[in-house]
Amino acid sequence: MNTLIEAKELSCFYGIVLGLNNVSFSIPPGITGLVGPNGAGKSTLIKLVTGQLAPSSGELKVFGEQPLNNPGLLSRIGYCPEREQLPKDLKPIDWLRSLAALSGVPWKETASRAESALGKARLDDVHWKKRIGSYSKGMKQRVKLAQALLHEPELIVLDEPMNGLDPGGRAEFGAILKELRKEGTSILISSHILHELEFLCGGFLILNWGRALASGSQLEIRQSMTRWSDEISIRCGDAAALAAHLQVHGVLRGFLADREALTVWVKNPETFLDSWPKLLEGCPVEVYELRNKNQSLSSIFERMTK
Amino acid sequence: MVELRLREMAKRSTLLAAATAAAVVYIVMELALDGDDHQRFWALAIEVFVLKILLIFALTKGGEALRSDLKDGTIEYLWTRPVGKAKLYLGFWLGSLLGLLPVLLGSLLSISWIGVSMGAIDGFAELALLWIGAFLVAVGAGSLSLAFSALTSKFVVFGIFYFALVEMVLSRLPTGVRSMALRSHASDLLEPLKFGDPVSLELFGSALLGFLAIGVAAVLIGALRFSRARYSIGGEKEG
Repeated sequence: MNTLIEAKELSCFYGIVLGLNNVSFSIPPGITGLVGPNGAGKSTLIKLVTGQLAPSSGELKVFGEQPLNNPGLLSRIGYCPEREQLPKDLKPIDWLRSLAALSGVPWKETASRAESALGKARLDDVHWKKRIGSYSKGMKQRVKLAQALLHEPELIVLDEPMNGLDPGGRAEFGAILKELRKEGTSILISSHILHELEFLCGGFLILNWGRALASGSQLEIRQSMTRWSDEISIRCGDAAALAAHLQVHGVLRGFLADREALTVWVKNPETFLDSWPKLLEGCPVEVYELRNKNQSLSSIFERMTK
Repeated sequence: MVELRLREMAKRSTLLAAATAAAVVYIVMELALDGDDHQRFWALAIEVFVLKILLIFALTKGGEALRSDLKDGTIEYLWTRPVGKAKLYLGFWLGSLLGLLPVLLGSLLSISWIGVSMGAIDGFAELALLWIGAFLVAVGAGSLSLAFSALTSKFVVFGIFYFALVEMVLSRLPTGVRSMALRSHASDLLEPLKFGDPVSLELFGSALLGFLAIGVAAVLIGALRFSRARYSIGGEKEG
């Protein structure tokens, strides 16, 4: 199946509060990052995908089925909520066994399934006998991940799983997710920690104010950004002279020249880039490099959500 | 929930709760009893324990686990399992009844021990009737409490309000409306014990039906409300 999750004109409102507003997108198998600032609609989308919310209008399909009131579909989805709350008085094995039983695993197999899930989540077995209440934040995140893996789902949905983890913990969590992907599990992960997602995710869905701003691979999003990005960085022999030359052609909104480095803000990026060779005609300044200054996902995200 | 409850029941703290309930009930009964006054024993066992303490306890305790899961947000781990919400609710129902068991068993053991030693309980039928009556009250009130907790986070206040209005007031009305109260059915079932009268099969059957009707209605209302519960924006995940 080429499409894992597909939304068509999907909206979800909490009374008068906006959750998602008329979004359409499709997410292929793989690791997909759900990116957006607080209140963007990430958690709302996740609740819709995991069948906890009903769409106000539009359509959402996961594996070609509607998630609401669909236990059959939920057996293919594992979910790791954002909230940190876990049953403090229980040991992870006991809790996971109960959840595995609820997921349809025969009781006799629940212990081995719980141990396997904790192993995949890389929670050291010396901690298995301790109560969850005594766990650190990182250990709790692993237990949360383990419970999502219990019924060996094809898709795992993780809501801000790296919140509160230190850099080492984030890196290891990312490594666990990559390993799961190698085993064939697809992952939908929401986060505002963008630089981790850049290295982790093949595709992204960028949300803000309940709207889908962009979706696709990093490359696709960057290319679409390049088309309308107005900030261009140029390295040349004489920045001031080149700026003066471009000013004559009337293509700039502004510029910043510093010896060999010139940053220009152009009126129409697409026209500017298309006519770049012509613009240089008659210009005595040697140009070494031209590129969009901010190409990282973080800067794309910042620009999009401004 | 059931597995968790069973595991919890094997814990030291649960056994401690049962032992504490047994000790408290034993001490109070011993202090309140006057020699071999059988009528006083039955009044304490039925009027005070079954119809008041047990009823209030079950009405305020039965919905605790569900409400705690809804309040903490841990309900999300259950909602996203491949199992229907009605089935989940039944799990909570069984779990809540199991949660009432330690205190119920501890208290009943003490009451039975005292009743048998003083001769107030002189046959298996009396003992069985006391236990059946107490269990039915616990199941009925526990089911109501769970339904209240599916409806509102103020389920304890609601339970006490229900006890005051329905159980204490409506049960005393000499009309059919009294059958809405668990107390009226429990009284029908257990009152004959006070006077050493035999329980008629007809009375037993009608009391059983009364408990069943209240219990089933509570479970249905609770399950219906729970199955419609959704994630809602804000601090507490309750629909």
